[in-house]
Amino acid sequence: MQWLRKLSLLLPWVRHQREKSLDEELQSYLEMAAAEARSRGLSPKNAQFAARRDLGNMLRAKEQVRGEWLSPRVDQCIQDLRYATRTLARTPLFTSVAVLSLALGIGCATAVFSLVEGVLLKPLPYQDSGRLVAIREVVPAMSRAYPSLPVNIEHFIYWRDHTHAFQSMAALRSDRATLTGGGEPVQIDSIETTADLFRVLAVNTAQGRGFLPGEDQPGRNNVAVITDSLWRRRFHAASNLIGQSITLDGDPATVVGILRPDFTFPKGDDLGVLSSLGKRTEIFRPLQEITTGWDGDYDYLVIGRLNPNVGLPQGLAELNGLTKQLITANKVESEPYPLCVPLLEVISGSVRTSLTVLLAAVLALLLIVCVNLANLMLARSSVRAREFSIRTALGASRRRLLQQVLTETGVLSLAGGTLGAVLSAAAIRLFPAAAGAAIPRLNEVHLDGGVLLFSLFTTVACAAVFGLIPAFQVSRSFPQEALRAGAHNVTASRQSLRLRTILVAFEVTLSTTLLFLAGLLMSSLFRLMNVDKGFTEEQAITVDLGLPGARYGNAAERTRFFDRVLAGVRTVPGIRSAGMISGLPLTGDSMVNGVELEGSGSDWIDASNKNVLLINVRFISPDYFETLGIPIMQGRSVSQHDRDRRVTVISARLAAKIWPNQNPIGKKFKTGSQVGLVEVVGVVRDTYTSRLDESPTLIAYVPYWVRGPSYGSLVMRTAVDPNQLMEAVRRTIWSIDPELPVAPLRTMSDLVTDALARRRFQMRLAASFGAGALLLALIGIYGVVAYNAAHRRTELGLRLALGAKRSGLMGLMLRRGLEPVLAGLACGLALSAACGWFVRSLLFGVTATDPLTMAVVAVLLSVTALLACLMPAYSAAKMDPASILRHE
Amino acid sequence: MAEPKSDRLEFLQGTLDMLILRTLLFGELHGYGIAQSIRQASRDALLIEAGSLYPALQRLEIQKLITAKWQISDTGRRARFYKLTATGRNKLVSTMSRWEDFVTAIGRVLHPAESTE
Repeated sequence: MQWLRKLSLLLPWVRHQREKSLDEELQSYLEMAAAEARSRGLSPKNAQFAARRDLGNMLRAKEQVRGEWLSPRVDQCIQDLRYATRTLARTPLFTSVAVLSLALGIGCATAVFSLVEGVLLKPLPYQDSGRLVAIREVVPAMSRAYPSLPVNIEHFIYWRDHTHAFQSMAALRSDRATLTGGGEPVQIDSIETTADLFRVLAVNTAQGRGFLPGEDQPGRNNVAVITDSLWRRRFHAASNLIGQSITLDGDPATVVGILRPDFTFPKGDDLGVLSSLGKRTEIFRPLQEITTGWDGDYDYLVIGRLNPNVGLPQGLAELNGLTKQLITANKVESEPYPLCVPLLEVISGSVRTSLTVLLAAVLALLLIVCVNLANLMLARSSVRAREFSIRTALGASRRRLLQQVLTETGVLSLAGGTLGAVLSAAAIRLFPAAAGAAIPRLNEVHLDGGVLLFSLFTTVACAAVFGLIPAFQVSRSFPQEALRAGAHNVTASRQSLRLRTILVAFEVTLSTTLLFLAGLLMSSLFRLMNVDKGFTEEQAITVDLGLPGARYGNAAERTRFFDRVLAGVRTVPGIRSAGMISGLPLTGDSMVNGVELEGSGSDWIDASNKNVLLINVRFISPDYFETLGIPIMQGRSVSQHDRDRRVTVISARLAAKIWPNQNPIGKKFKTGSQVGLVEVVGVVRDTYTSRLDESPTLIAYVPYWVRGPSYGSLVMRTAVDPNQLMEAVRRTIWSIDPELPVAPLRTMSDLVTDALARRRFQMRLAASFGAGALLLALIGIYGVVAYNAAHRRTELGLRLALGAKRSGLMGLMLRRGLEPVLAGLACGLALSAACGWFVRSLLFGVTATDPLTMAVVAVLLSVTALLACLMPAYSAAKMDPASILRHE
Repeated sequence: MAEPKSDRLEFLQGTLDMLILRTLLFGELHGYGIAQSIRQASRDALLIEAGSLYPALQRLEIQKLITAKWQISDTGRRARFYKLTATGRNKLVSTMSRWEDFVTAIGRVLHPAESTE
């Protein structure tokens, strides 16, 4: 109870009351003592004096009593706080600059840390997620092009049936399913999986159940588990959905489970599978059909849960052994071996480098902020040197002064840190919009305890960094020198000036490095964006179409559909040309096969790396190349006359690989089981299937009527604004098949933008950092030079009076200001070269020590520094010497 | 004896507290009155400054050994009067007996020939 009373004393009005009471009491003591003295015969005046003497030192008495209220230390703290707030309020410009720059620095650092924590450090949102492992296979003959592949289903089954190291395993694959009934037909991203998936992930459903063992077998696999978001969006959170039947791909499927709202499953890009998983999986189904064959397709991602006390190396070793067994037993020629990677690594490993670099950059920025602040604080305390010296002369201990200066920095840090935390909360809210496609696990990034702790830690660290320097400077003040009239603490200030100059050099070094890195990243992106994609993206729209198996059971029906839809779309006014392709550029690899030259009997080996050459196969319509503006370099495109022939058009790089310096027209080869023997009739310009920073993909284009693909993307070149025609195209498609789900149309420009999303995000960040570093450097240099000028006014005034030219004076100030900048620049460029080496994996088209970028950075900083120095130097040179000297 | 400063302070504080409690044993008094009473009783040997008195009064008040109230004094002035509580009375008794033991012990050391044990 006592401490509660003591705490209440912190409240200002309680304290006020107490003080008043004490005052009154002491007053009455005085009066009574005076009365007594008068009664003894002293004059009123002497009685007063006697009473005073009797009372003793009133102030000390009050202080002693206060000491009883709260321990003196707490009392001192409160005093310091009040004094600090008052002094800070007296210099609003300094205080706001300090608090704002701290807030920005700490806010950015916290936001980035929350990214690092949510994406890289936090375990996955599944129970005991450390035991979850993603399993892939490596086929040595293909390992150059594809360092690892998904898993063959027969291998998976063998592992699952014989493993002891793994508690459970599931194989899964992405697909799209058409959902009809209850609204517009729509395509949703689905995952087809073995029955064990939810057991492996150890997740429970909100309603219903997961899959039962055996439900992935034909006959029992017409069930589905849906996500909470699909349930709300499509089925309006109907309460009796479990057990109801829905129509998927034209077939009925029973909903057996609804997942919890907080269930997340990684996006396709993050799982790094060959075929792209959808952006947001909404439905889980058991495997509908499997592609068998021990040496056949490698199509499935496997996720396994290790048994407790079994480590990853053990699991891998067991799988290795099992794989060897099945290779021998079934004569698997490709001789694959398994690869185990923790699931977390698979999902977030791709951004590890960039996020770490980001964190380092933002901490460097924060350091610059602190250095700036230390500079400003030094300037402040130099100005107050006189005040400190007086206080020392009056008896204040060094410790007390130190305490008070540290309180000031503490208040600044706390204000900056709190504001920073608020800013970071806002930034985190903005992340999905700014970086949605670029970063995995973004939905798991929150401002949680760990992040707040980091915020607190940086705040304290900042206070330490920029507070201690001026604090020590204060504690070394010499009373005599300060109190000498007109003196400006020459000795102490020379030290301070030297320190500040060093700080500026340090700051410029850091800024240079940040700017250099920003420049490297920006020019990487710029070069990437200017890579010739091989097609023209302007004025083009595209729509993905998937033909449900129920109504399009055979190749003839599918071919007929595409015939009709292409013809129909061409009649829409405003459409100049239309084509289709089974997989657009920049949307990922698909239909990857080897190449078997006519008569050779085996896949073609690339001599340069001894690997089987792998190509992508695409089904196209004759007008595809013309529609997307891809030039034919040799021969011709496929045409309607090729309806009864098997022809192909190959990409330029593929032609150069297999038939260098020869004419490939007329050559024949086999690729994949579905295409058979085709004859080359043309060579076309290269395009990219996935990343623009790698070599263009090897593609063989085959007419769609060869197989009648069940999915394809229409591309249309428009004469008018593409957005205006989207509705007309949809209506045309629906006029041919009203029940076909039509995905949202998008422009080819959007597609390209999406593909570059990650790089774009990096560039934006890099640009902001660069700008921030530059701004801070500007402020820092300006601060030092301005202080320098103000401080040496006497000296400069004397110089002017003694005949120095104004321009000479300006030159002097400029030189003094620019010296540390140049030194910092030199060190910074050296540091930049080292840092550039670290981030080389993020660069494209520039070397880690790109001289052009270095030159640009050097010029930029020098010019900025010059500008920063100019103002104070100019105003110093304009001084009126007479008035200066008169003042002193 | 080289006592640490804090011990000596506490020792002195404890003694002053005891004197104040004793002074209040037979009635209420205001601060000035307490100081006067102690001075008179000790025949001017103990002069308590306000700087020591009021902190002591504060301590005793916090420990609930005395209570305080604003009242009009006999001279018509407003003053804060202090009164002993039951807890205070008990504390005074125990402190006084400890003090007497203490004094006896010191007496034995200083004048060993006169010990009667």
